[in-house]
Amino acid sequence: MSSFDKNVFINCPYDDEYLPLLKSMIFTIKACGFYPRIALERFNSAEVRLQKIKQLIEESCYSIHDLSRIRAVSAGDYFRLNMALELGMDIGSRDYHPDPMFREKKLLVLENERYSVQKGLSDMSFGDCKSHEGSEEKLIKCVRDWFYESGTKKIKPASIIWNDFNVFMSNLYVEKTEQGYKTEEIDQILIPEYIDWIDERFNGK
Amino acid sequence: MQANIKRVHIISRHNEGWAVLKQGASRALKVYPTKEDAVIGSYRFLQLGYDLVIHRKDGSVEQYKNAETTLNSFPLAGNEQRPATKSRQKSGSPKKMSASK
Repeated sequence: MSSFDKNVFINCPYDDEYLPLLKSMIFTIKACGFYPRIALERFNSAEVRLQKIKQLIEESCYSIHDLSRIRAVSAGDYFRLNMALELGMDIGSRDYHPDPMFREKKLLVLENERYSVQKGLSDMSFGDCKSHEGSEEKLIKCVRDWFYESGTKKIKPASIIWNDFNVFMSNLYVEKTEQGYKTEEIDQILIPEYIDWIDERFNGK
Repeated sequence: MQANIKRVHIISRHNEGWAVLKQGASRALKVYPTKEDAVIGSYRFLQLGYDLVIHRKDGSVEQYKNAETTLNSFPLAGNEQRPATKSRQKSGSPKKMSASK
């Protein structure tokens, strides 16, 4: 059972293009001994999404906010504001929640290129963001280094976690293929199913 | 993680190229400037009974080459001669894996 001290709230885009980055992030969180919490972890049409996000924020001491995709891609598109909204909710809970343990919350803000977030969210210039440049390998290093800087010392170096992630993906491919999954189904695996599979690997089930 | 499995991985190395890594090892055997070089350089592991896993830049599997089933169809570099296939000693690896995506 996950606990507040070990939960990591993930605030990121949920599109197909971002999925490989999300997979590497979830793997790294597990490899560092933490538990990923994400709105995609369960689906219930009756559940109000913002309430679910509020609950996840309140259950997580750590949070990762990837703002690398908030920028509109083409002329006429809008900014994607959901990620910025959820970041604001998380900062608000850290500063204003009546429970003092919320002051211990630790946040990581990710961006695509260095200082790009500050161009759209100038109030963010108070804190450092880490940039992954759209690379899964760099994202793993960002997340792993942040856990280390936040006080988790006994974790593997980023290069080893990257190796482990590649091996893990091949194990997933082999096992799911043997179970009859099509390649497309493996690539587009549901996030709850992916987390379950990682749990089985790390817990040795 | 499953260090007893005979697999060799070709994985991306940021700003370096493509690394050849034996499953269970912590350090790469060699880093090549291009993916194609890494694939050709790893051909010998198929002959030794290792499955070859070629990864995409994002870490997912692009091609899974089973040593038993794909050695004879693997592209040869230059004037390289195709050796006789050695039967694999290892069990437990997938036998009917698709050679490519």
